[in-house]
Amino acid sequence: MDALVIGKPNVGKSLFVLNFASYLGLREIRLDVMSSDDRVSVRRVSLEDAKRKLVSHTAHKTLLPRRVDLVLPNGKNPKHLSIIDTVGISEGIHHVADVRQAMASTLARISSADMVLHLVDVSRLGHKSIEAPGPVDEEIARYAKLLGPYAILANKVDKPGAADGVSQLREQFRGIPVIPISALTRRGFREVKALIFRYMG
Amino acid sequence: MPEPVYEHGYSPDPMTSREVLAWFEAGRISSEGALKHLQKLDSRTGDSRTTVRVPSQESRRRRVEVVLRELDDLVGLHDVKKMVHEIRAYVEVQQRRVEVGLASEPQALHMVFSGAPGTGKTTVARILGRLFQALEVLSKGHMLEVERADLVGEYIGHTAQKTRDVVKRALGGVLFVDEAYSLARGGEKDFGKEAIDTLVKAMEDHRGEFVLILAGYSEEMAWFLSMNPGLLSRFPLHLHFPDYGPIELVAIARLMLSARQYQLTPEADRQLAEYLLQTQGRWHKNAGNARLVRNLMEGAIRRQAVRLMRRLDMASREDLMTLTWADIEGGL
Repeated sequence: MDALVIGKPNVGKSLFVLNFASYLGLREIRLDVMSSDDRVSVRRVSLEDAKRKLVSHTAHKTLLPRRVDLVLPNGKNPKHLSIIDTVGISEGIHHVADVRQAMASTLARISSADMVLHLVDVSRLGHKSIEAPGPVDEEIARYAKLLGPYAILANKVDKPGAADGVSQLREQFRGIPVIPISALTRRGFREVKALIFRYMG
Repeated sequence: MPEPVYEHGYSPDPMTSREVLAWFEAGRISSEGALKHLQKLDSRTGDSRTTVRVPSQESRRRRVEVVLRELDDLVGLHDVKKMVHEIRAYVEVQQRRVEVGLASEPQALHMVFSGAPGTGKTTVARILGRLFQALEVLSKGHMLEVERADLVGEYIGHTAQKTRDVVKRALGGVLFVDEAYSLARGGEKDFGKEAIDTLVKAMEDHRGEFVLILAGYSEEMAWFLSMNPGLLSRFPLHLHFPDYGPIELVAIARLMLSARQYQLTPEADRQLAEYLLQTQGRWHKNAGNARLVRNLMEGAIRRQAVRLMRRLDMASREDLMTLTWADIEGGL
């Protein structure tokens, strides 16, 4: 099963994917880097190394969708889960062609994903910054909820002021599961895991 | 830097998800726009598409019909109406052809309107803008009416800038250039030539984003187009607006008056028709047509007011509405 992690730039998608993988028991991950022509290059790295390489505070650190494969113990039938980290989708028309191309590769994957996990920076609700929730989030929600399993992960709840944001977000996206999480402190990971397991059947 | 005008200018919707992504990569549509299109086109959301599409097709048909009815309500203009109905059919068939994957001709809808002032050119241009909007050929459907002074500048380079600004404002709608022949009047050195060149270039650069209508007197327009052979081929549609006949002018007078809650006595109606019939051919070229009737009626309304003032207390509702032949005759 493919779970697509999507959201605006800088909302914490890469950190979430790596820490969540670690939470599910992985120490080392195989990093599949998908290039735009669907060629895949493979590297094995420790999670700590991966984090150092892949996570940053600047927007659009991730310019290619990245896939993390997990095998989850489940008695005799281990389950396979691929979490796909994607390029952040920014508002409007981005001025750099490479970034637009990278975002297009993310958009192209939405419809084929088995599940969409939509990360939102809940601490920035009502702000003007690039990671603040905006129209793109509404469009993603409108599109993804029609496709199949879909949840909003309200990230960065470890930051001050995020509690109000969660209830506002629930108000705004009525009918869609909103799970408060912190990719940094791993809060809410249990709920996300439960949700994914439920959909994996 | 991608041209921001694409966001608001006309472009037909992308037909496939692949096209959406290509447009997005090219910077033609925003992230939000791309997601909206994907949502519409995605096969897995197909159910919602069919439920959304049917009513929108319905309302589109209704909007087109409302506009066409307004056109048909105009007095006279038989050939113009026929042409507009043809254009409508052509546009819809081309769109249908695209839908089923057939080759479609690029729609060049630029036009030349020829006819005297007051023969309905501006009115029809305005209706066409709304028709093209209803048909989803133009995004806004507004009409921008300009003349030589709005396009031609005072020094070298000024004209191109001025004309481009005008085109920019017209994007998504109709650009109506009145007395277009005046752009060619000054000869080779005149800046009008530059305005024409800039317009022609804009027609290429903003293909499908606006409709250009060049309007003016028949003879002058014929001369203008013969002076610029390149122009003729770019304007496939020529609409001629004939002068109104006496009967049509009376009908226009009635419409004009009823819109203002006035009416003619049967006597006035008959006399007016007779007068117009007798004087036909003696009208000054510029005085002619709908404007002539409007001036006549406005004069009559003033004279009626003077007439009623003498015994205003006794004037009935009927009296207040009615224009007599004497009211009209006073202005002849």
